[in-house]
Amino acid sequence: MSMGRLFRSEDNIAVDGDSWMSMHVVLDNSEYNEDSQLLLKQEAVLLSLHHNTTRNYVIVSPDVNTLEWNPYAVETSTGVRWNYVYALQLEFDKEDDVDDLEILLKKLKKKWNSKNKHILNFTMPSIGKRQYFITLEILSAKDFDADELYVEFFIKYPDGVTSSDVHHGRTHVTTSMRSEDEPRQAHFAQTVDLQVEADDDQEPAPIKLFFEVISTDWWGRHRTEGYAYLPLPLDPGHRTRVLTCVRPEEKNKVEAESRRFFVGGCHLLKDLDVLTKPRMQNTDFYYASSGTLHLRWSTLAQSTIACPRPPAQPSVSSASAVLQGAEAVLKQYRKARARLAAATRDLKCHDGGGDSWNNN
Amino acid sequence: MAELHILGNIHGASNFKYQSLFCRYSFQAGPNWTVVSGLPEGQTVSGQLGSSQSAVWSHPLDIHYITKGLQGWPKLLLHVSCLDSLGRTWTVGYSCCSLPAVPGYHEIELPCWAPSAATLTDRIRQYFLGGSHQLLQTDIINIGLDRLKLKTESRGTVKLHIDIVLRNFSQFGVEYK
Repeated sequence: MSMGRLFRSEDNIAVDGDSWMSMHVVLDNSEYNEDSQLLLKQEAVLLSLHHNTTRNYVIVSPDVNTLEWNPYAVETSTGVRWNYVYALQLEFDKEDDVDDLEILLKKLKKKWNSKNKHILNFTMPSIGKRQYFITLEILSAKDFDADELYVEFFIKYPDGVTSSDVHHGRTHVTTSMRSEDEPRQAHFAQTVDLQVEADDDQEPAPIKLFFEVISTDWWGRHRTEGYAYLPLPLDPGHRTRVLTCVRPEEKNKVEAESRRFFVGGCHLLKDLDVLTKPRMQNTDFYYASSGTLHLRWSTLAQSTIACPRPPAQPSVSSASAVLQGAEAVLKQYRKARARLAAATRDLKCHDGGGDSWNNN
Repeated sequence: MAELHILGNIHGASNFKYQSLFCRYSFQAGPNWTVVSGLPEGQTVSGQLGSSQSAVWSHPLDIHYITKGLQGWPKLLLHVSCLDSLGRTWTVGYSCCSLPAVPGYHEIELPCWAPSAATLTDRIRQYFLGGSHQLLQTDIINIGLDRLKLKTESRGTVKLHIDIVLRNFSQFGVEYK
């Protein structure tokens, strides 16, 4: 297996134009005859030094490590297989150089961290989870009979969807505005921010939103003017919706009108789920429309499926050349270590001989 | 880092019963968000009501945010004020909207409201002398889920024309459309 081919792999496109010079430390256990002609080739590469002459850095493969990382096998002429391990340690001549190198590496690491801060620090959902960010706006209510209105809303999350946000809220009380050509309208402009979480592998059901438009009067009485239900899908996007509000009324028209005139309001729903399931509705009543409620919302979804990738690097400039070189070193090092581990596994299985090594 | 550009203008106001209107605006966002360029606060010119009962400002907006999280998506807060013939000003409408999270062009209408006069005396005073009740803490415009105790009056609407540009959000697993 060739290290040269490994470094020209598909993962190495960014430095494809670079020129390399390699040096290998090889254990030669080959058999030769008296004229030094090769009879049986048995080699094991112990250490490789790759020098990138374009960007002037060195890759040591394998890196500094312990004994367990570098096994290799040698088979004797009698067919006995010997397994060995070796470790690698780098020592610099002078302590001053070590300090300088440490300082340089620390600086490079600091630069790398600051450069990739955007990747490291972006808030991501937990692994296997998908987060939804919903900004709901209750804009206005139109065409209601009463002048002073407010909206009470209830949020029900389906199974599999969790949220720490509140499930209930009320808008301010507002006096409706009358204009010549338009129906009377009550303005709320209230924003509700929701953050919910669901498993990544399932498609969550819509969130159930129930709205109750309530009027107040001079006596301080609160009367329900209408109900509305919105199944809010968790698909990303920006949407506007006009909900028609309904109120339960007696089927007898005279009775309904009398009740509305003298008492006001409407019959109350004990369980708002009746709005989602029409079959549960009481057949003694029918639902009369009482006005409209205007809503707007945006939904964002975030999951960990799409791995964050750094933005495309600009062309090499003088200032960033060193930094880019360091990143290339790190990348090369990781790739080399992975490939070397794979290569040594092969050596363990197949006598460790017959490898050919190419220098770049 | 993910980036958000907000480009466009505060187009104008309509259905306010005042002759001359202007608007103070501010963008509010969560702690993850940082303004890179542009002014997140400002004030429009004063516009006279035209024949269509609307005042046109066409105040340009150009804000560039960077963010490290989706929490606290930016909102726009508006304080619409009137300017009378004596040079007095007072707030005649508050409003708030969450900016669309979908890239592209958006026309947004912001319904406005203002605190109503608490007593009959206040109402008479406001009718003859002008002026209005104002919020001491404007946080209530965009924060709080239970504001039943706030009594208000509905006022006109403000129109907003904006383009939203999102950058690098998809790199962090964000889906927006």
